[in-house]
Amino acid sequence: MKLQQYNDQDLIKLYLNGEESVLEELLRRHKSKIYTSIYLLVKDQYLAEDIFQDAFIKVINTLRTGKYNEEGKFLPWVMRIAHNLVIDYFRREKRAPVITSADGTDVFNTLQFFEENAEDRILREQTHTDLRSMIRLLPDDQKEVLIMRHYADLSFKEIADLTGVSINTALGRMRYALSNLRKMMKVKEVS
Amino acid sequence: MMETSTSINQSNYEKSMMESAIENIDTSDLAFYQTIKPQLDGLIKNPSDETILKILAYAKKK
Repeated sequence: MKLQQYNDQDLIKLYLNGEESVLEELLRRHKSKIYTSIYLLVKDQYLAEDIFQDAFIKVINTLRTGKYNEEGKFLPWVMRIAHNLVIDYFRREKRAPVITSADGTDVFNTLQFFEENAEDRILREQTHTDLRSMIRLLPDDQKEVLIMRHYADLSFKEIADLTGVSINTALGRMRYALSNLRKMMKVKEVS
Repeated sequence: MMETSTSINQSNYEKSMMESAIENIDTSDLAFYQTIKPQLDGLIKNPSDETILKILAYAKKK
């Protein structure tokens, strides 16, 4: 069976009908979107792995108990679960995400991923570190929208539903996020 | 006097809200977003194979 040709909803139906192998396809399809979003929010690889795993265990349990609402889309639903787990974590820790400062090379440098030498690799890694730091410097609400829009590939409507705000608010937060990132990059360019 | 009203279809309402929101995006914001997309994509990560295997193993438990 070629699972790639099925959409998420069809895969869920297959799963509910006992075709357990479809879970692997759903994971393959969405793992990077969900994991990257979690990782950028919690900033810890091992914690992100744990939350990712917990989110999918909840997904499996919900599907098994027949509580999955077919009207919803799979990815926004899993993102909502993951998002709630991240919030739970920060509540438990009673701390806000740590803000780290950026320092290093210009993020606008063109990256050469082929025939990468040691210098290129260091530069690329520094660029990623800088950009991650800049994203982490964003206010939480802006960071959340940027991550959900870009990495989780959610629509502004889905982000608005997930975060309990209007579409215009979600969009406004995205604009502020981009505006702030641009300012931070300018500062980095001149420093 | 008879009052008339137009029903608001929910999906049309959402569509109109979305269109209105998109119209408000500054074109320079969009251009900037397009510029940094490759850099943002460079941060994409995957969970470890071990985590995926644990999830699949859990799913197989009855």
